[in-house]
Amino acid sequence: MTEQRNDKHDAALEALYREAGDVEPDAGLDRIIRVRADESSRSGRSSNRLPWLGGLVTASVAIVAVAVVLQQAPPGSPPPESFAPQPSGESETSGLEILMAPSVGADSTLESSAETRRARSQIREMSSAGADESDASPPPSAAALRPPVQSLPEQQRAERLGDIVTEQAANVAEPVAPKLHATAADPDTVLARIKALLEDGEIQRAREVLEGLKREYPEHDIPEEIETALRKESGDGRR
Amino acid sequence: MTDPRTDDDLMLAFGAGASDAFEVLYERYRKPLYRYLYHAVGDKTAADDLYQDAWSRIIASREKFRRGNGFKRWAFRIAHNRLVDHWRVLGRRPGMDAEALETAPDDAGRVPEEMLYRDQQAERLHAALMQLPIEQRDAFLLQQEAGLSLADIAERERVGKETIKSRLRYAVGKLKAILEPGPEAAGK
Repeated sequence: MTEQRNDKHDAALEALYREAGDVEPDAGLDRIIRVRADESSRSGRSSNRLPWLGGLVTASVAIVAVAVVLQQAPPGSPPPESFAPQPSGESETSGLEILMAPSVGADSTLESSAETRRARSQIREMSSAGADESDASPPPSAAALRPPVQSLPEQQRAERLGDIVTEQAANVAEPVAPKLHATAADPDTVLARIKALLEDGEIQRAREVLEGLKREYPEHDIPEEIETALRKESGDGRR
Repeated sequence: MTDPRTDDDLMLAFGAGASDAFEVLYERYRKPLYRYLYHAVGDKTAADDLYQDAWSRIIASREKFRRGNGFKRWAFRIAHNRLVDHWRVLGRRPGMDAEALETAPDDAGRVPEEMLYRDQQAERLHAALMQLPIEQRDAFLLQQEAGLSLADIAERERVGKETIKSRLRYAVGKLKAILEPGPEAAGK
C-alpha cells in the first residue's frame, strides 16, 4: 500500500520534472554543433587531431589580406567591401563561432578567459534573440557591433582592421591551463598504469584495465603503441 | 517522418561520413543531453560550454564507436565525464551553483502572465535540484534523462547498486519534500 503511494508520488515528481525541467539548447549552440559535425564529416577525419588548424588558417588569411589591402589602398580611398563588418552572413558567423568554440581535448575548456566567455555569451544572446525573429539569421560578430570601418579616418580604419585580426587571432589561441587535479581515475594515469603492466608482462591485466578505460572514457585516445603491444601479445599467446 | 534507424546505426553511419545521420541523432538527443547537463550544473553558461564540449567529443570520437556500445549510454558517459571534470575544477562545491541561481536576474515580469506559473515551477525545480548533493543529483538525472538502470549508474559511479538505490531514494524524498505540498495540504 505504502509502495503504491510512493510510486504514485514518484510519478507525480517525474511529471513535474518533465514539465518544469524542460529546457533546450539555444539555436546558436545547435548551429555551432551542426557545423562542426558537418565539417568533421566532410573532412573525413576526427576534428580533435588538429582542432586549432581551421582557426589558424582563417587568422593567417585575414592577416595577409589586411596587409595587402593596407599596402595597395591609395590614401583616402575606402577599403574594399569584403573587409567591412558584415551585419549578417552565414560564412563569417560560422567561422567566428568555430573560432570561439573551446578546443577539443583541452581541460582548459572550463577555464577560458573572461573575454572569450563574455564574447560567447554575447553571441549566444544575440543568436537567441535573432532566432525568435528568423531561424536563418546568424548572430552578428563582435566586430559588427562597431561603427562601419568606411566611416572612419584612414588611421583609425587601419587600427580597426588590425583590431579585427587581433580579435580573431585571440580567439584561436585560448590559453591552455594545466590540469588542476590528477586522480587515480584520470585516463592518463590509467594509461601509465597499462604501460607499466605491459612492461611487467601482465598482459591479461593490462588488457582488462584497457577495456575498463575504454568503457569509462570512450572519447579518450589510446596510444597506438599500447594497442600494438596488446595485439602483438595476443598473437604470441595470452598470459 | 521518424527515421526507422536505431541510434547505433545512425552513429555508425555518421562515423562512415553520413552527416544526415548525425542530424537525426542530434535531434533525438539534443534535449536530453542538455537537460542532463543544465540541471546538473544549474548554470546556463556552464551548461552551454559542457554541452558544446560533450558534442564535440562525440563528433571527434565517432570512429571509435562500435555497434553494441549503445549510443545513449556512450553519449551520456561522455557528457558525464565532462561533468566530472567540471566539478573537479570547481573543487566539488555545489553551493557555488546555488548561489549563482539565487543571483540570477529575475525576468519574470517580461514574460506573459500565463507563462509565469510554469516559470516559477521551473525555478523551484531548479532550486530543489541544486539543493541535492552532487551524487544524488547526478543519479537522479542519469535515471531521468539517460534512462539508466540502477546497475548502469552503479557501474558508472563505481559503487554498489544499493548505494545508488539509496541515493535515488534520498534524492526523490528531498525533491518531493521541497516541491510537493505538505501532508496537510494534500489532505492526509
